[in-house]
Amino acid sequence: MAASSTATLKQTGAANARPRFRAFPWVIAGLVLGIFVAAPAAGFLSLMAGGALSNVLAFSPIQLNAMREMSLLLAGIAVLAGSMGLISAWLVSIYDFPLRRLIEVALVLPLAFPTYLAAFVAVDLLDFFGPVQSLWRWLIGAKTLADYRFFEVRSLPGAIIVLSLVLFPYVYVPCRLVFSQGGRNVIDAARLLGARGAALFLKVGAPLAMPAILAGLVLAMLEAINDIGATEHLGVSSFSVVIRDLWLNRFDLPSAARLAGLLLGIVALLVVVEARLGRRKSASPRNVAHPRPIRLGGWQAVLACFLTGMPVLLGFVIPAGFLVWRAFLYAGQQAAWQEFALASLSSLTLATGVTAAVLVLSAALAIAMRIAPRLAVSNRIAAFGYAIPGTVLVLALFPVFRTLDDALSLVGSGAAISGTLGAIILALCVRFLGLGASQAGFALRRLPRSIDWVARIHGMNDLRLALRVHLPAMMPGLMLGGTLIFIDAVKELPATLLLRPLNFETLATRAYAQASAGAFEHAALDSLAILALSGIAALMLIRKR
Amino acid sequence: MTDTPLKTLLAASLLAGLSAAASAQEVNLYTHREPALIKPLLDKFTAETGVKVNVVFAASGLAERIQSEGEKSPADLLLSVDVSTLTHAASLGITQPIVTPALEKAVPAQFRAKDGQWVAVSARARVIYASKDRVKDNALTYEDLADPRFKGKLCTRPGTHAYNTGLAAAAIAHLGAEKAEAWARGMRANLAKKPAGGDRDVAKDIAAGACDIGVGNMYYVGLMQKDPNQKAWVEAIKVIMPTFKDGATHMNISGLVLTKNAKNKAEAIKLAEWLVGKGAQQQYAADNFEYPVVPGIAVEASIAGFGQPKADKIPLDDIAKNRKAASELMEKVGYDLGPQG
Repeated sequence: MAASSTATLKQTGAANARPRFRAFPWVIAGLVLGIFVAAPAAGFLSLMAGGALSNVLAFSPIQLNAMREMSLLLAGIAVLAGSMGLISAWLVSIYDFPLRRLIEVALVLPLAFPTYLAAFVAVDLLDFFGPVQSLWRWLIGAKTLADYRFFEVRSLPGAIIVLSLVLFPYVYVPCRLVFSQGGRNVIDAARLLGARGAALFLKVGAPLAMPAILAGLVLAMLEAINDIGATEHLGVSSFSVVIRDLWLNRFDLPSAARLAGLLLGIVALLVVVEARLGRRKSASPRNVAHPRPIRLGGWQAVLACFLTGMPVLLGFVIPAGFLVWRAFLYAGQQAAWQEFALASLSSLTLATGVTAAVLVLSAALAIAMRIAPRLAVSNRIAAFGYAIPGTVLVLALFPVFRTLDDALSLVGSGAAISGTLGAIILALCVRFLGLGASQAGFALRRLPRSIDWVARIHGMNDLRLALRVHLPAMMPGLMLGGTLIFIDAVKELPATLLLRPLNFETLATRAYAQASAGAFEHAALDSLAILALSGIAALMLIRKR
Repeated sequence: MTDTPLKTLLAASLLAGLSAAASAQEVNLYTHREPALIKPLLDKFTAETGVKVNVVFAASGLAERIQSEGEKSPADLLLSVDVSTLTHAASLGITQPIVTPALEKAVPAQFRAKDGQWVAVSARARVIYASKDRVKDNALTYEDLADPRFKGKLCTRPGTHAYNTGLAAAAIAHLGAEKAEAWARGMRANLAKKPAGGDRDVAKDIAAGACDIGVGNMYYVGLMQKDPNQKAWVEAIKVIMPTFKDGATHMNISGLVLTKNAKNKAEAIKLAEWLVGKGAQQQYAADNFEYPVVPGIAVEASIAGFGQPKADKIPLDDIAKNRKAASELMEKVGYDLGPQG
């Protein structure tokens, strides 16, 4: 009896090695990728068409300089955000020191800051008329810049620091997961074998976290590449500025699109490198007892507190406090509370809708990839939208919306997708699909394939397998991806700004409109509301599982 | 109790999203101009005429959006702050002439397109900000900005910004391509620091002592005076109304195009005509410190003292044609690389 059931299992297993072809995963992946990747990609190609082809490779000194500054910016962020994320994750996971529990949670909060807001706040705080330099002048008795030197925040180093301070949680969160869960047993074993201090960190901790660091850095760099407001405000000639110049001053959209295409190539390279280096995941059994964190005392405790507390202070507490102060200062001038409430609700509704839509698509794609493993490459393809600058993505989507609108006309409908919330949601699905799909796919890969075989033996069909086995297994990944998407959607600016319906405002569009009218101080309240929404979501990233 | 307003808000936000359909007595305005600067005016228009104005603001790309929306586009008017954006919209084929007897009567020819495709509603002068303490001159030309005596003393926003590209386009029109290039090179050589930020930052940098002289739009002076936070910046500078040596001040405009598929054409024209009416021109000038396009309307008092801009004989349409060349010029001289580069 036992022997025969083993034989059955073997037979079924063998059958599964060459599974019968199923069409539906291909249909699902085709639909998802077709609508959310191929269509915008076709739009993107149509933007690139036309104009002289030579333009794209005939780099001017300005373009070369933008490339140089961009590379330095990315390298700087990789080093600074990478080390801040890694070191703080290590310290809060392995050691115990005063305020550790609070700091451990607070370290995700800087993620709530949109880069453009961080840049505006940093300049207001640190430039000549800001409180920091004013205090400094008062202390040293100086009057003008001729009397003293001070760190220039509007510079490449300034941009590296400002962006790193709000992007490092992308590294911190996955590193902390490695140190507290995935790689915990290895670290514990090393500790039992006598590894301590720097040796434990350099020989065990850092190598273990490498895939997590890379994955986090890719997200951080994508955000830095796509940023336009922050780098421009800080005086860095980013690629996005060059692209915009080609489009808006020369009305040469094809060249602008080709440069964006080049950027896309660089990003694709980043993603491939990450994929090559970053896929060595160590599985770890759960629910085993871990040794207590190492208790630090004296100067060591102070140092640990300082190293982990500074990123929180500089990346969140001080800039947010500055905004609170500004909000109070201008509260009297905030006449339109109703508009503010409406914008808050719009931001919340839009971000929730986008998150839900992306998660459904991501789950469908991950399941399709699971059932038809040949589709695995879909994950990389899905990252397309996350890798092009937001405004270029919107321009690439315009022909798509046009086609959809024309199709609606053909069936006799006067309705249009352009100019509706649907257009924003569609665009943001394109943008965030890669984020959701990779998290869902990653979670599902942890589920051994043998589970699928067992389920099939028990007569589960594909639908039930997907709903009863795959979906629950994906949940942690969907939660994590959904949280990241929600945060990004609340902060999102270029697509929302350019695609929104008449009279429709989100917190981000209101803050941006104020800032671009040169009255950033009036944007304090909207900015704080953005921080509140995305900050609460960011805290979900760190909750105890 | 708390449920009802929430529901109303939700319904309103959904409705705003889902209904693109036009009802009577409204006009849909796409604007590159920040809503805070035009809202008081639009509210007044609605109060006076009963025509509701629906607005969407974006920094760039609205002409492309109208093109993509095609016949179903809800946009009736596009308001922009730069003449070349308006001529670009016309070149995309999304506009129709905005010509009425009232507009022709109110707005002088220099502030209307020759082919009727756009009409200006306000004008702005690009002027020189100079340190009250460190710059003795009280009259300067745009050419003087490239004079070696200002070496290491000039601050501007990036050369890729529309306002500076616009000035460079005017320089090409007035000086010719060759001299304009020498001028741009001279300006770059005079830079005190890498171009960054906006026009207000020029005043800020002068006040901080980072540089002595710079270029900015006139209306920022009025806006900075009005803002208690920014008053210290503007108090450190004096404003010099420059001209090219041939005697013309570089003016740009904010203006309107009427979309080809405007569903509310009558209301759109009503708004355009209202905006160049006496009351609106006065308020626009008073709120935003710009120059009225209609003769006989007073400039806001606090900036009137800086002198009148000298009218440019070269039509704005022709200056706008130099826009691409101007962008290439700024790139060729490496303006945004800053003084060292």
